[in-house]
Amino acid sequence: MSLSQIIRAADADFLIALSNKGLYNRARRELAEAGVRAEVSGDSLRAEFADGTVLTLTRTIQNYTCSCPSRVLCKHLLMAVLAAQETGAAAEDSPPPPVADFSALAAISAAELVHLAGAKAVRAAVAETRPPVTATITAAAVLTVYLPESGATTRFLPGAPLTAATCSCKADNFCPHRLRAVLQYILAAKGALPADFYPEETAEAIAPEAPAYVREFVTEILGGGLVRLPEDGADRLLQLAAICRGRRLPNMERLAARAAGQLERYARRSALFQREELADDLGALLLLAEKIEAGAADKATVGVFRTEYLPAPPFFLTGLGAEGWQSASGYSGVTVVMYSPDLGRVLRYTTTLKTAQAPGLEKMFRQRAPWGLNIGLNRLARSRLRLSGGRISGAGRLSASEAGRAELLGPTFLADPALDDIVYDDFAALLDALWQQREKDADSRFYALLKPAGAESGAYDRINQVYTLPLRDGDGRLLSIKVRYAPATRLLIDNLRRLESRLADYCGIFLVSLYIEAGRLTAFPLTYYGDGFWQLGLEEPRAQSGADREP
Amino acid sequence: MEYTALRRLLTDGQAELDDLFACGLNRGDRHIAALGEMAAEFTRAGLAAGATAWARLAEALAGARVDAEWTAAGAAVCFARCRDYLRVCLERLDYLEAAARLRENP
Repeated sequence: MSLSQIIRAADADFLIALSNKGLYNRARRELAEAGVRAEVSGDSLRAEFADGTVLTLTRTIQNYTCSCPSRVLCKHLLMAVLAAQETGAAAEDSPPPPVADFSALAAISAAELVHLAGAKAVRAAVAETRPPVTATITAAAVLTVYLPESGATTRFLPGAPLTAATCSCKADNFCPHRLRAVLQYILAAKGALPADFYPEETAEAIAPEAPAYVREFVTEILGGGLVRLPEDGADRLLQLAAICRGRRLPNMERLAARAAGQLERYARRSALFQREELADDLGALLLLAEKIEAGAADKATVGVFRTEYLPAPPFFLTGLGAEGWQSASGYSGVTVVMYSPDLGRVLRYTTTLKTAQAPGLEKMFRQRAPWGLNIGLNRLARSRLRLSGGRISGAGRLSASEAGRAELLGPTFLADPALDDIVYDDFAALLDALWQQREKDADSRFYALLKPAGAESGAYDRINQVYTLPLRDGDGRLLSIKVRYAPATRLLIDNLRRLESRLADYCGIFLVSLYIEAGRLTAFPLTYYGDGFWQLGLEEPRAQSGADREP
Repeated sequence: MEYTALRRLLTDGQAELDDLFACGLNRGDRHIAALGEMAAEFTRAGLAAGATAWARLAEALAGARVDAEWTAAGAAVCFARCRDYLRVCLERLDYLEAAARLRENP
């Protein structure tokens, strides 16, 4: 677009956004007496004023020099543009169409935006940009984008560089509003942001040495066998995991770290060592290294960092329940399970402490909830809220970052149609949903609200220390709740046994995590909803008070 | 082939690989015959990909007998492919078995 066209397209809105309304009005008022002689020649404009001031403008309106003493945008610039428009000095080219062409704006690449705004800002803005379009976009001679969440209005000139855009925030640099406005426009024009805006989903150039190191070391371990494992095997694998992290190879890092854990357990003759798992992980590492070395490093191969938290747009959350746990590595924690109907996924918030320092799971469950909420985790697990500034990891974990602010909306309402997607009364459909998720992400747990039609008597296998409670759906299909005894599950098993007698009359709804064990659909229970919420592994039956009852 | 027999075949295959892992691929020649037999069993069960994977592993290990410069690199990749095959098969078998159980309303 030529300078003449840019000048003709610069309407009152654009010039006001560039300066301010007062200066614009003053420029209009004083234009007649200013004696401006404006002349456009190619990509530049020269304006001479009666008082001797000279202004020159090159390529864009913002790229100007003025002989007046003003250090900020001056009235001469506005007058020069207005004079050029009025005298027709800018009309030597064909006039711009009534609605200008902004296709170049929709074709802007992620790299260009990163160059202007920085990678971090672009990543944050992209994470917040998803359909539907929330901005009000008006295309005329100038493209105006109004962002309701910030109240900022950004204007773009057709064909002009992005740096020529103006924003009501008056920032000199390429501000977050301009960035978000561009993304909103791309979203409106294309329906979605192009793939280059999601670099974590695109294969990156991978330095070949990390996969080569991994392949060589795994070959060494497999060659020598379990009986001749190198003494420093676990340490070397951990070092390789760190190298993989540095090289942004998340799947390889995860497998190497897991195999290192097994090697460490083997070295100290721990009963938790599992030979099959180590062999599987080493095999998977080797195949992964081979695939990456062969240049087949797509997103599925390389993976994403599951612990990396990315900002998300404001979203609603419904607390479904909670679980207390103790890990083999010496940590205790409480995980609150929540469902976001907007995002269509289950998300988890976890608080963790070293078991030696933990006050006990039941007390941890009463600790304060994050995001500025003045409630405990026990209430968070059965509340509805709206979270702004939240951050979510690839594995569906919610960050407790201080930027997150939540607004409590009320107690969880299980009959809410927004939860229908995760309520199952048909166990065959449940199995299909579990399998579909497993195909997409084998490492994530699958949570569901289970609505059984009937229950049979539970039983505790004293030899294997496993409690089993068979449940049936309306068509008589069987699913078993199973809980293996451990200090962290003692209360859960006790509560399930207490629950058995109630289930004969009414089965209620269970929040469970599902898995398949030896060809059987199996569930681990977290919460029971009968005549109130009961976090089975974290609350004694007395928690079934009126205050906990469903509305 | 019914699910129980299929599961037994897959877990037998897993046990064989576990033994091989325990002693190491460098000393894996004792397992060549057993791996060959497993390959034949996979063929009988109609699991051609499994049969190929096991046969290649046996072949890679046999290379040590004829090649003075043999290294475990090739056999390690074959070993990894066998494990991966078993993992995928067992996962799918789990699902199919669970689906069949639900269909039959046991």
